[in-house]
Amino acid sequence: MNVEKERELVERAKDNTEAFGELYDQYYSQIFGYVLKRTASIEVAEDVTSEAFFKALKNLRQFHWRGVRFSSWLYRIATNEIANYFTKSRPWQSSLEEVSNSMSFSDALTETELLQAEAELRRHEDFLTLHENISKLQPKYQEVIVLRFFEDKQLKEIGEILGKREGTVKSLLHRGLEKLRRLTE
Amino acid sequence: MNKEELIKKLESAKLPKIELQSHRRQLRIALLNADYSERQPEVTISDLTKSKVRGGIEKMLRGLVSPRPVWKTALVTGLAIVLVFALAIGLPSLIGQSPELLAGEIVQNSPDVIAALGGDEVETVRILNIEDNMATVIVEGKMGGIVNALVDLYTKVVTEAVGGPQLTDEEKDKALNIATTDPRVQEVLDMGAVIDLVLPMYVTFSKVNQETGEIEEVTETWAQMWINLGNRAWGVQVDLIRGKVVSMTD
Repeated sequence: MNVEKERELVERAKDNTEAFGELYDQYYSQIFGYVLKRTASIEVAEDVTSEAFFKALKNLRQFHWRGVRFSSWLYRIATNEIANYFTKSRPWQSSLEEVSNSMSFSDALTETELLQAEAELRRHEDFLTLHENISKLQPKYQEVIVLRFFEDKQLKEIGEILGKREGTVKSLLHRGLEKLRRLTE
Repeated sequence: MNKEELIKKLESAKLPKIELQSHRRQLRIALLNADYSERQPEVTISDLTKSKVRGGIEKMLRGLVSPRPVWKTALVTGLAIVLVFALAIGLPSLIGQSPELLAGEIVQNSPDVIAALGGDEVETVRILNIEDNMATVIVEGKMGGIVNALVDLYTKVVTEAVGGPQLTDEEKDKALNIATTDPRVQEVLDMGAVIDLVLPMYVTFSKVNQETGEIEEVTETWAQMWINLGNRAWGVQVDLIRGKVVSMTD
């Protein structure tokens, strides 16, 4: 979607539910994928993605084009929600088993889909090993490393997402990689 | 490992697109209806629960409400509103007849269900879930056969009817042993609840074969059971392979 079209869609979405649905269709996969790469848990990704989109819907009228793309704004909300997830004590912040316990009993199809997705995730051992080490870093390093290498974002866009200068992102990336290198030794 | 090697490793460890279509669909509905409900303040959950579809909504609430954040509440509100509109607009013939009754009626007259029961008559129909006009039910025949069926309440057709082998006595005993040693199950049994029915459920997922490295689709037989106490009922899923209760829903 080009910038102009996206801008027009975002403006419409402020008063039009269907337009918000179009934005959701456009960005759901990206946001879910990003959260999954940060958390390595399908169920946490479900919850955090849901929170992020509800926050986006609630605050959409406050979004204005001031050099930050809508997609970057969504990534920023998702990044904040991930941070909230890991720092706040929430009743829904529970282990995988506890989360699965709260699922609807009869929704066997959903559960099968969940199990399949978890199995697919577990197949990617290289990713999971790296994630394990990345998750030991401070969040500021996790954010830049995941956005740069797993989301293929350029430094400028990472800066937009995180609200930091490009030079700061570059420096965080450099230090984050150094710390990660030591962890992987 | 030097920095260049680490970067190469990071660049090659890509995770492919993994998604849950059910989550994507449900969240979309919830978002769009959450937005709608903000513009329709007169429609509230308490209003909805006083309506004719109270039973259906309560069923949804039982399955969906958990100590989770705001989006869960909105999801419930959204689905409840969708159900009201579906009933009011899409299913005018249903006014005065509950979705549960309709599902039972459709199942009883379904040739597919009768065939899956081996020609037997339907004795009882248990409604597991009603969502998006689709009812998931378990049908018991007079001869003891069991069929899992999906019922489309809009077109009034059984879209899927699957019979299958029952749990062996050994598997049933195992399921009961696992369930009764689970503290959550123990708690309700201590309140005087009784285990009403133990049935198989089939769970399919992908698994890596450790010897060949190939991905295989594996179907496991688990058990599902109902526990009743007066007007309350709990559903319990038991993983027979790993010996644990996977979920328990009020």
